[in-house]
Amino acid sequence: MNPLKKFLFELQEITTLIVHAFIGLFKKPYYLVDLVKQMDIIGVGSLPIVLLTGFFTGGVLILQTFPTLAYYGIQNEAGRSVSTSLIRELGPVLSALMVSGRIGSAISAELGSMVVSQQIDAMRALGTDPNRKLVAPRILALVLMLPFLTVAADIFGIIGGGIVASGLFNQSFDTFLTSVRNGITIEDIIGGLIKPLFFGLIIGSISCHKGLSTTGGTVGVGRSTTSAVVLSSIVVIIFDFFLSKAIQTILDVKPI
Amino acid sequence: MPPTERKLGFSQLRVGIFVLFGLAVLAFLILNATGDFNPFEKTMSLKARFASADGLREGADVQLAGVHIGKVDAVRLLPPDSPDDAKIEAIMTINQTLDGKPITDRIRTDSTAQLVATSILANDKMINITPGTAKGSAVTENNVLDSTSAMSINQLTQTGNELLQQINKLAIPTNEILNKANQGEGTLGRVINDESLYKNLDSAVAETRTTVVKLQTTLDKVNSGSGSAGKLLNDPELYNSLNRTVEQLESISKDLRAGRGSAGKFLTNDELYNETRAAVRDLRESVNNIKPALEQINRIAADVNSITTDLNEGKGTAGKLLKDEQLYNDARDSLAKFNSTAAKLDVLISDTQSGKGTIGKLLTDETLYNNLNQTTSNINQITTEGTKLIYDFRQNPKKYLTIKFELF
Repeated sequence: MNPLKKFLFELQEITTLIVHAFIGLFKKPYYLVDLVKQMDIIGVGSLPIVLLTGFFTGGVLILQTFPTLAYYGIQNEAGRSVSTSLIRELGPVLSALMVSGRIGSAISAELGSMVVSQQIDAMRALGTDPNRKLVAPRILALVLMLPFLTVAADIFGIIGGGIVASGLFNQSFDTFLTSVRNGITIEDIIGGLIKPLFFGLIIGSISCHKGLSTTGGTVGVGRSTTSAVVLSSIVVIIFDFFLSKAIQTILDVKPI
Repeated sequence: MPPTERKLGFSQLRVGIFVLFGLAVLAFLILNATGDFNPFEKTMSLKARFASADGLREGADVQLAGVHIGKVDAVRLLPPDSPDDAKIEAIMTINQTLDGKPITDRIRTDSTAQLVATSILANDKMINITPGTAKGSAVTENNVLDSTSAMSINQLTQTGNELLQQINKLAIPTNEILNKANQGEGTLGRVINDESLYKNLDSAVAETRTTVVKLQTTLDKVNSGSGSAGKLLNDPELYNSLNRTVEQLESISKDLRAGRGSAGKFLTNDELYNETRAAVRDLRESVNNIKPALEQINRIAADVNSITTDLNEGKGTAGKLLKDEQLYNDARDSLAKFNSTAAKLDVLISDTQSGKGTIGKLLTDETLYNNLNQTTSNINQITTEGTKLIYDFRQNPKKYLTIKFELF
């Protein structure tokens, strides 16, 4: 199969997967227990790594930008740079990347091993649609939880930036918070919360597809896990560009 | 479940093709919505030549009266033999339409391209095209626009620097002058600090005002015809008499011209002229005679000169008189002494006048005089008596000289 056909085939498979999962949400039986369980694993389970990532990203942003800002005498606006960059861009993308690393790999490995051990076939034989039972709760949980994780990452990033600013550069925390407030606009927050919805959908659908299309035994599980993480990360970053452009245009974000 | 790999055809990938197409269109629309990415926009290229790129880069903005219409496609150096004001050529790519109308409606052959700075701080440049008028014709592809170069911030700072240096040079003496003025030194200082000028000016103005008022009244009087000036202006009599005088003068001059009277003869008769010439000749001779006398005087002057030099150098009595300060000092002392003496004399005289002391009494007290007078008259009497006595004695000495010879 040539690469173009393979790419188109994958795209088609992912699209049908999303459509089937979406349709399955509105049909009985509702797998609410599975949804809550996945939300716990994906949301609460990913919280520590997302918080750590956000905290140190905010800290390193201040660490790198503060001397430059101080050179121009505008170190009081350091919080602005952190809040703008974190809420607009780094919060959603970094949480999505961390979650794709942790959850995407977990989903594709889990589903892949189920495929390899023919549990999916058994499920289908027993009359349960694996799309509705396995795929839909995972994608929905990711779409629901990723914005919360993003918000947590943003807040911890700002806190980390504030600690670095006050601890290393002797800037008062109030000054930092004031400039953070000056930097945040409602368009930034809305745009920062729209992005993780799409990122959750991308990570969930790609990981589920890679898991379900696993072939070649246990070796294939490892292969599909790797490709799920790599592909979802790349697609997240590509989509981030177009989403940012679309959000800038639609919400008319002013440059600061 | 997917069909076997070998049998997969495009007809079975319709969904994938559709999704890919949809995503591509979406991405294009997102980019196109902000106007940054217009691959289907028709463009045309224009050229402008400048003396120096001076910060103009490929990709810099091209604006039409401040509105973005395109970008600089390339900045190229022209051949070395090109004129000084056209050393580089900027090729601009601009959109062919603006608001649905062709751009050539606005960019005409009389449009000019200006090289302007994007901000004060940076030396980045962009090209601003001025809108053309109906006089020019529509520009065509690769048309070279006329160009003007705006002043760059670098040139501005250089000029400003020179200006500042000049001002600095000027500021030092100005400061000194102002300091002095503040301390009240010099004319300016007095003008600033001394109030007398203001007061004088004020009184002068007040005086001027009163003068003007007086002038006004005078003029009013003159206008109304009172006083000599008023009569001069208003009374025609003077004019008439002047007129008469002039008429008479005219008649006199007529007479003169005709040679009547002595003055007329003076003008018309040659005799007087001849006599005058003879007199002048005599005068010339006299002058010639005077010449040796003048030489003599010259010599005397030289002598006087030498005397004067001697005097200047302090030689001789007169020189010492002029140069030696001793005499002056002596004279000063004498004068001082004289002064004090005079003062004392003054006191003395005033005392005397007031009748103090002997002399005072002598002058003012009349008793001495009376006594003296009395005495004098007494003496006079005595003298007359004495005279009579002597006379009597001469006449009859026997009366007095009785020599008695008594003999025992």
